[in-house]
Amino acid sequence: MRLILLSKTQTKFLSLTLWVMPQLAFSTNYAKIPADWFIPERQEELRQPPTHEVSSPGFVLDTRDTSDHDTTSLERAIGTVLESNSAALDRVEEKGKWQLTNMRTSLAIGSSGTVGILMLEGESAVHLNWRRRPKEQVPESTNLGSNRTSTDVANTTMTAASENDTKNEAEGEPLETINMRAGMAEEDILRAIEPSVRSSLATGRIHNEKNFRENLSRTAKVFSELIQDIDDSVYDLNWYVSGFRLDLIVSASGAVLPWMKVGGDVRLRFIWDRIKRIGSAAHPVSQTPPKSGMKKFIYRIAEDLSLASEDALEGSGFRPDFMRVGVGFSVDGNIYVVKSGLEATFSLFFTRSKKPLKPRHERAIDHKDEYIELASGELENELAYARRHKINYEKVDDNGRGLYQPIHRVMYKIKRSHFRKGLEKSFRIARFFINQVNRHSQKHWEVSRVETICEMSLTGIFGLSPLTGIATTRLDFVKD
Amino acid sequence: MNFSFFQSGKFFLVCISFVIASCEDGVFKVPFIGLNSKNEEVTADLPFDPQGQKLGRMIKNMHTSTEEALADHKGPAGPWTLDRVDVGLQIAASFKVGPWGAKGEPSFRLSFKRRK
Repeated sequence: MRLILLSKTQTKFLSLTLWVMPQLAFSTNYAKIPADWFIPERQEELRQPPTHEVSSPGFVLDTRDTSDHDTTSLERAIGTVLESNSAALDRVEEKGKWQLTNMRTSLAIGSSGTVGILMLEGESAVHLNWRRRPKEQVPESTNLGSNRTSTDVANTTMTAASENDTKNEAEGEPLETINMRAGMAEEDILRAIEPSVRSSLATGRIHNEKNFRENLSRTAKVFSELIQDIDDSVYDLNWYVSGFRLDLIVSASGAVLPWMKVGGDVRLRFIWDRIKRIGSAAHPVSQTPPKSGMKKFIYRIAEDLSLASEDALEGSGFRPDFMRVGVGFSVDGNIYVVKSGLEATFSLFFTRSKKPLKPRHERAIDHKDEYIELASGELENELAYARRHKINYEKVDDNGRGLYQPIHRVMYKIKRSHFRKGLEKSFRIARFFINQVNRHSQKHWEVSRVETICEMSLTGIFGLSPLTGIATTRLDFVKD
Repeated sequence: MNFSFFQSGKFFLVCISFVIASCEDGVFKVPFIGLNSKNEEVTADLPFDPQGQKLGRMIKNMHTSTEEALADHKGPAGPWTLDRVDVGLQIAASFKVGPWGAKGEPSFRLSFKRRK
């Protein structure tokens, strides 16, 4: 056996190599989102405070254009997902009575920004919705020929129609859906909820029927009252409210509680969808901005959506479709965006009309003294953040129109100009994912809808929701 | 393996090759990521399949299962027929793909429509 004698330098080099190489070899090469795609509060948690500040007294408002960041690894990761999904879908054989028409992939973001496919539990951040491409759009070289049928185009049309349902089916699945309309009489309400009451009781998980019936009918009445105001809220803007929803769970005692993503409770969903054509004699467009209550809130959100620039989406082949906002109602008729899972979550769906936006300079309206309120729980870290950045807030106790026991919540006041900048930022983040979709060739299937699920900051800025986040908004973009 | 192997730098090259190989030809790994029952963040370091073979097999199996499950389905009497079925798929704690339960959101969601 021959001894290997190394010089001092060689020994150092060998030791270094033996230590460094395994570190490099086994280190993960996961892609991460840029830190500023999170809301500012989370950026602080990441100890990566934004470097670019927009002059604004009180707090740092980070509205950097995301194109400033190196997103190479993220582009590769999303590209991997797109190509893998596309290849998998192309392997699907078409036969039998049932046809695969859509697939949705859920992407999630970890607390450090790592992007992956969602598993187990947690909030997703981006949904990619796949649909079968119309036959005439499939490139010649990739045509499956005998595998495809003449019903493809018709099926694609059906698929597009079914996508209209996506606003009501994405976040969790209810046991029962109760369709409501404006101006329902009490007996109509009781008739509407009865099938759901029976189905829910049939699960055997609700032990107090009387309590359950009382709670559900009271909730249905509140929902019905709210619909009337929403139904009348039609303005000469590019966005309008097209739907309203309330998600609930029912406990064994028959109590009606806020929807939570975990747990196997009985889940119910109240839905209202706008069916009347806007602008018709039965549904006139109001020219005057409302002064109070729910109508004022709806007008402000619709106006800010109409004022926010969609320039980031130009030439992308995608357009905004709708935005879901989680809202709550106070006993005095006030309406606000809900950030926490404390209370029953109502959702307002704002849909983009096909009317073109006015030129940018005509949209520059300054609402200096106007705010949108954001409700959250009494969380010390959020209160500390608000104090540090001089964000106005007040603590209130309310029972939300009698829907639940009084709860403590903190109402943060968000300037409308910041809210609008937040919307523009969320369009830019969506554009990144849309760019990746456009960049990667898809054969028989295509991504036709990109959904971004966002948290709202106390500052009014939107950021992608991490796994542990509580989504306040969802923005959907559809292929033209 | 002898002294000249280390001295010549071949060992270094072997290590470099290993590092490059772990990057899978420039394709970034996409982990499965989620919260466990204790609300802790977990990441499954599974090699993603760029050719979509595993996912393709999974969809194919789910397609077959859906066909079989619906073959004996008898819809309600009257003008209503079952037209669409949505299936959620989730990566389970064992990191195997299976039907989605009531918790969380599915990793993939498949929609099937009845052929006309």
